Amino acid sequence: MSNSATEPRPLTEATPTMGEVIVETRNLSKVYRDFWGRPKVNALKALDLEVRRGEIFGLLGPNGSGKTTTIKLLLGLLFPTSGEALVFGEPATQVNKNERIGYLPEESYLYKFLNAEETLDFYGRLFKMSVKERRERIAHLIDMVGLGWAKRRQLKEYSKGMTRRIGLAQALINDPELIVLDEPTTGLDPIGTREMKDLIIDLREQGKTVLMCSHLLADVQDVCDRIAILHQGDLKELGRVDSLLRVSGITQIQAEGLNAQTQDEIRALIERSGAKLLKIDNPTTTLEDLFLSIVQDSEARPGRRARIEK
Amino acid sequence: MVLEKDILSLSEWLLVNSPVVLFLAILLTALGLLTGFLIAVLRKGPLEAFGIVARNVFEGLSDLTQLSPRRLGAMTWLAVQEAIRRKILIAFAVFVVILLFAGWFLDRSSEDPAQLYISFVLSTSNFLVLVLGIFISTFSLPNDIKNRTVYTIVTKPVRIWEILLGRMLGFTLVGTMLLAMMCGFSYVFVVRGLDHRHNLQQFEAEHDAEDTPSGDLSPTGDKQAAGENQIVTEPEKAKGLASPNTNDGSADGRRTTHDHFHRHSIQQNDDGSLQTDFAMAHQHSVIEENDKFRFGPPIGMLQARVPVAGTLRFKDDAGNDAVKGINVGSEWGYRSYVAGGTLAAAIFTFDNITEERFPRDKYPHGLPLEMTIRVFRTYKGIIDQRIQGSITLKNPDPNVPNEQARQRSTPFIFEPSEFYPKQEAIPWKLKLQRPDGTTDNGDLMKDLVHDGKIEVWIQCEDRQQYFGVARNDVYLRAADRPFWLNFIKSYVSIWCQMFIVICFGVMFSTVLSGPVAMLAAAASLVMGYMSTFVTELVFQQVEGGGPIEALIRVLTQLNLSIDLGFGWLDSVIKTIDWVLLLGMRGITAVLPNFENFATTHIIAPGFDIPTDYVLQHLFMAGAFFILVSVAGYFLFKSREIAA
Repeated sequence: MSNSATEPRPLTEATPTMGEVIVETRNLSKVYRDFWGRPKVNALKALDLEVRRGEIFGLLGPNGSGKTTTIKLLLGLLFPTSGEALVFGEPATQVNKNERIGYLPEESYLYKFLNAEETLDFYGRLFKMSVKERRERIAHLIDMVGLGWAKRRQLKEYSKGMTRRIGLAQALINDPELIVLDEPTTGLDPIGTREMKDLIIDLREQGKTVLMCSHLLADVQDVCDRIAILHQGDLKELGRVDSLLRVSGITQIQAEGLNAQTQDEIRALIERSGAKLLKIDNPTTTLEDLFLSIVQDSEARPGRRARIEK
Repeated sequence: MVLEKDILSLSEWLLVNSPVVLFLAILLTALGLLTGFLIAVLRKGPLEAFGIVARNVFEGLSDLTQLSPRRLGAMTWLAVQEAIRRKILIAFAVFVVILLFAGWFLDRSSEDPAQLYISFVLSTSNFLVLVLGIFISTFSLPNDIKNRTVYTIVTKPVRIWEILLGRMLGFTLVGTMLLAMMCGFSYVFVVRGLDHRHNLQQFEAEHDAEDTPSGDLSPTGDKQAAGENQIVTEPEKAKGLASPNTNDGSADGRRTTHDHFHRHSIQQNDDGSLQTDFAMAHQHSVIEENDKFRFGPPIGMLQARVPVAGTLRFKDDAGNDAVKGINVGSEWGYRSYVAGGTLAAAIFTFDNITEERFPRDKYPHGLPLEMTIRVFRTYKGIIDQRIQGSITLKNPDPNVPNEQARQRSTPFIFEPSEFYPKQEAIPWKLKLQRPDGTTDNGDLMKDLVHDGKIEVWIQCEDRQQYFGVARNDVYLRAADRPFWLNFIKSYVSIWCQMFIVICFGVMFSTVLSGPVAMLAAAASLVMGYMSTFVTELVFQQVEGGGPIEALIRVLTQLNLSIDLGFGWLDSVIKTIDWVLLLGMRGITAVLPNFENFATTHIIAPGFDIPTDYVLQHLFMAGAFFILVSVAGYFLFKSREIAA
């Protein structure tokens, strides 16, 4: 992806919570039945949630919690057993809403016998856009997902990561207002994962609404404004990520350039105030950041070998 | 040409079939709505059910109005790409291989090899393309659902109509391409396969009587008294330079070499030009240069005659009107027989006989009557002598109620051709038979045609022998069309079948998995081909009983004429069979009757396939396309893609 960034980006503070409702579920339930119509799995139970314009909303939960079912209901791939799923104010089964939606499925379910250009051209023809506009968009998206070198190869020759990228490109072919991403980082290497997360944040900055589901907590934490945590079909938690993760009663101070004497003074000050000091140490970086900086360094100075500590 | 069911004009056909189609459409719509309502009742309860059905119907119509050619084009393109990249063109390679080796198995020594060749290529193309149609149409959508590629389609603004129609059209496009290649290849195969030349074989004493060409029929016979009319038979147009020493009527006994399992005799036309006689349903032009003979390509092998059939009525032995002739014991009641040496006659009345339609300069030999007359012999007779018949033309003037008093020609004596049509041109100037028994010169158009109508009376002259006739056995050869055009028409009919099969395949694939959809489509095809048989079974017009009885008879090897022998169980089995048969009849009523698409029986004997007939096929294909698309739409719409 062209705008790869290695620095973690802070969440935008001004996330709208009172904007236009783009996605809404009311008492949404889904029961999977067997061949004879007998209830088999109660996949989703009376889900109520709203996703507003311009936010990144994450559906979080372990496998089988109802995340993908919710997304499929919102896309009209499944019919609700009860309740309503509304997208842009219309029932999810309405086809017209799809003009404004981009969807990246859990795995990129694409036609393997087409190449990247043909794939994007085919999906582009399903939307109202001129030939010129379509061609420009295809060229831009192929460039964006970094597949210019393989655009004439059939998808059956693509690696999983490449397929994922072209899948993302097809989801964005219509410049959608709402992007639905099902496990967007599955199958991507750390660089791809970071690029995907950057892209999601970029999309929000372009005013798009993103609804994603994942069971990778770090992904959700990094990009989502609000999350809903599902478990066994029930909504367990809903709110802003920063609010949900905030630990009240514990204060964290981060500073740069503190010497040992100043640190001792701070300790003394905390003790004098009657508070309990839990920890003063140097923070560690994440493995993701370390990996990305090594790769970046390796690309800048090829041939440099690791120094093994004995 | 055997034509058990008359080919109606398009307007007549529409008039007859439209009410049936309309009734079936209403019935199926009602059944569909009722089924949908019942399913909705089960799922959501009776209160919501009505709203669900109404909403679905409304959405179906609304989706139809929002159908986009752009999206439809994209879906069609995808189907074409899918079919091509799945290497379906291998079917064409199989076809070519079959044709390459076909020459080994086709009996080129048959009486009319053209029939054999044409039937073979048409049947092979038909079979291959239908099997292919089933394969490509039934696996595509289930594979998309299984691989979940359909997720990326239905989450785009694509209507279900576009998904369905795109597939139907895309696969049809590929099938059409394939069929066009098969058509071209088959045409070359037939034309090149039948093309042959002969060389001259000088008359030698060794030529035997067996080589005497069967088509060389003498119009004269014992019964041809002086003053009787003479018809001009096809071989007779070329009068043989009959040498008193030769018994084959050939030019100085000259004949061709024995190539391709036959030989010809050379004959001279009125204008001095040469040609061969008819053998294996064809002849050759002959050019004589410096005492050397050069033979042209076969003529008359690949034809597209345009027959104009008349109406048929009968007279019995005593000369009274009869509905039918005699049944000589044949189970196949297609032909009726008239007894020889009696007053029995088969009377054909032809319409629209005008100078404009049959101009004398175009038909110099006379009115182009062609016939195939089947002969039933009750005794062997003289082995090398054919049964003779007579043709009498009568003026069907209704102002003269007494048929005997009507203006008529003297009888033309002819020898019938049993297996392929022989032209018996009726001369324009002919002898008339006056009621008082005297004869007079007359003109066919002036004296025997009334209000555009003429009657042709055909009688068998030999006692205790019989002539078998059917309405389409005797006709006026109004024109000839190009064979290649006829060949294409035949492929258009095959195309219609392929289109219907693809539509059915796609429809089944909306709700069934690939293999099951394939079985369902194949079963529809088989049922469609057996539609008439199932109807006859239901109405007990053929023996055999229902499925259970048939199974028992197969397992126990019990003859059809023997009771099952299970006592009271017999009636239980028959009742269940009757219900099953009725169900099968119901299914066949809504399935296409593929027998109606057959053209081989017309094109192979050398007849033009009426354009109206092909249009009927196109209409049928169109009707099924609409019916199946609607069914497919609602089946797919009711399906949870991700379930």
